[in-house]
Amino acid sequence: MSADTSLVAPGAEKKRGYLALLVAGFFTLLSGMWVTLKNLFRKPVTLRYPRERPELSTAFRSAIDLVDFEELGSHDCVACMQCVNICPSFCIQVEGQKYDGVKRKRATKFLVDYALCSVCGLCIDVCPTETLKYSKIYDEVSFERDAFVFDLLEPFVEREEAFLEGQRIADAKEAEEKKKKAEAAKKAKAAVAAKKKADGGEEAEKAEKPKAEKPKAAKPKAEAPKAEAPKAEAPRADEPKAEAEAEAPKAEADAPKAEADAPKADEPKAGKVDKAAVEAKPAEPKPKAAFAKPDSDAKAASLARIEAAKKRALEKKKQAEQQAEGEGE
Amino acid sequence: MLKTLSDLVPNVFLAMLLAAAAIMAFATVNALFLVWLERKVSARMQRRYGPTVVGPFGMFQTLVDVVKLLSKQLISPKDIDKPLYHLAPIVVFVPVVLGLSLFPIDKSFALVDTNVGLVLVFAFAGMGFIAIFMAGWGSNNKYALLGAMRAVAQNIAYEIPLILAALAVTMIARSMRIADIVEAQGSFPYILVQPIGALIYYISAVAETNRAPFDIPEAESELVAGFHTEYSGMRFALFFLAEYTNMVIVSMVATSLFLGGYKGPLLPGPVWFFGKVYFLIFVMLWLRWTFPRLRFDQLMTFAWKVLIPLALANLLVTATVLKVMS
Ligand code: SF4
Ligand code: SF4
Repeated sequence: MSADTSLVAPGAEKKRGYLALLVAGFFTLLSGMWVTLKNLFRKPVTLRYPRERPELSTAFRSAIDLVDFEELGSHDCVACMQCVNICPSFCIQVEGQKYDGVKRKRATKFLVDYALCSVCGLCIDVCPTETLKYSKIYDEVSFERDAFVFDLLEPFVEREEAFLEGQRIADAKEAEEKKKKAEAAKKAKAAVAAKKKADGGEEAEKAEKPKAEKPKAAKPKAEAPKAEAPKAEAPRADEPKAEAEAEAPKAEADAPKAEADAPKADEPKAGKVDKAAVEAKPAEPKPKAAFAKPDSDAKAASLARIEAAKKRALEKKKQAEQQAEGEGE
Repeated sequence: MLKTLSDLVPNVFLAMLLAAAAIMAFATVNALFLVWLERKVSARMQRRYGPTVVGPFGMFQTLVDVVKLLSKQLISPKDIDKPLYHLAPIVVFVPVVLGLSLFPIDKSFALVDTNVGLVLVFAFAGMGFIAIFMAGWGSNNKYALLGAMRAVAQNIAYEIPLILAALAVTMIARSMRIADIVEAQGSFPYILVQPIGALIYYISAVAETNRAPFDIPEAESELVAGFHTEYSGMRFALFFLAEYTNMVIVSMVATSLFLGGYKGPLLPGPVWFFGKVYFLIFVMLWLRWTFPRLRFDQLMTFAWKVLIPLALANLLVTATVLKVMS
């Protein structure tokens, strides 16, 4: 018979005899059977899919979703529109609304068209409140494109009332505390002004020096009751200053002098606020100062929150990584 | 003393009825079980789960499948050879049922006991191939016909070593009555005396049942489904039933000839008998899910150039040794 129809390769046939080949072939077959026998007693590697689902990698990206913050009891979208603007696929729609007694805006509509989304992650990166994340969905199926327009607010709708209520209370508390602080600061300034008067405000140069020093001294006083994160210090530093400036006319100091003060003592961040205060000085000094304070406070609070959110995200990531490593081993 | 059904039941017709009922029930339950086992074993060897949903471990999956098959429309293609086409599923099933009745499952019981039992078994097994050829020819389908022709060629090739291997055993036992052969294996089974013969028999038996790696008559990748391409519903199920019952029959022959049949310590005879049979069937499943299908020329080369010469040599050596010893 030709080599083609034999059971083995032509080269091998020459080296071994008929019986040797048979025996060798037999043991090859046995080794094959040993492999299948071993696998018979090993655990199946498949998942019973609809009932069992794979654990997805932490790097898995899918449609975006809103983060449900535990301490807020809801998402934290402030409808800032940054994600809408940055999305290269134009697949996000957000609408927001301001509620009475709640300081920040709140999203009332948040639609994502997953059929368009390129999962680039820009929206997640840009969100100032870190309230966007990747979801883990991977088996959405439909005959219609519209089925992939996800309403991300849906799981939060029921909790929205409660969230707003809680936020109102929290915001009111915050506002009250600020008021107290403002009053305390005012008193301190009044005391300063009184001192100045007592010192005799005739000499402008003399009056200037205590002005610049005393607000600084007042700082720790104002901080003590707040006891907030260190970051919040910077913006707060200018509050007493602003008021001090507002009171400058009382002290009979020249307007140009007060203005000259501002750039010297101010830190760059507080510049805007200060200028506004300075400009509005002649007309209504007191209300302006009161307005300036909460604004800068909100900024600080928001910064602190973002920082906290970042920390949280980092911790979560670390945990997930550790878990993944543990499993990998 | 060996008792048969006709000894226990005096009325001949009643005995026949009982035997038919028992065999049909056994064949059906066995096929249901084996199909399930095949799925499970193949799944686990491939590290899948296999059927898990219907019943414990998915055991009733095949039962549900039978319901499905029963409810299927029976489709007959145009221009078929009607008598052959319709007879084939019945003819394929009859010898299988007959073959099942010949084996002593215990020291004292066999459904039928004749002194040519072994010859009968092989004769019935040969009839199965006639049915396969009827199916292939009657279907008026080229794949079916090709499958049937392959089946016949394969049958001729492998029947020879099969019978030569069995012949060596009958020479040692000096009987063709299956009960006698089992009895003759006193304290040790014939596989120790006839290791080569046992191996040849088993390989040929796998080829006889058309199972992988010898499943050339129904090679899916080439012939759609081979000889039963044009059969649907319950007709197809009958071919299926015949295939799985055939596995049992060749395993029963192997058990009786080489493994000492119902003999074994401690446990009762039927337990040993069926334990051995199902172990051999498991090995068949194991083979199927391990080895790829042979090419047709390889199949023929293996039969004519390896199995038949070896079986002849085995027979010659056995005869010589027997002559010298006596
Ligand atoms: S991941 Fe990219 S494409 Fe998808 S919604 Fe966000 S910004 Fe748009
Ligand atoms: S960027 Fe963040 S906070 Fe702004 S609208 Fe998008 S999800 Fe809301």
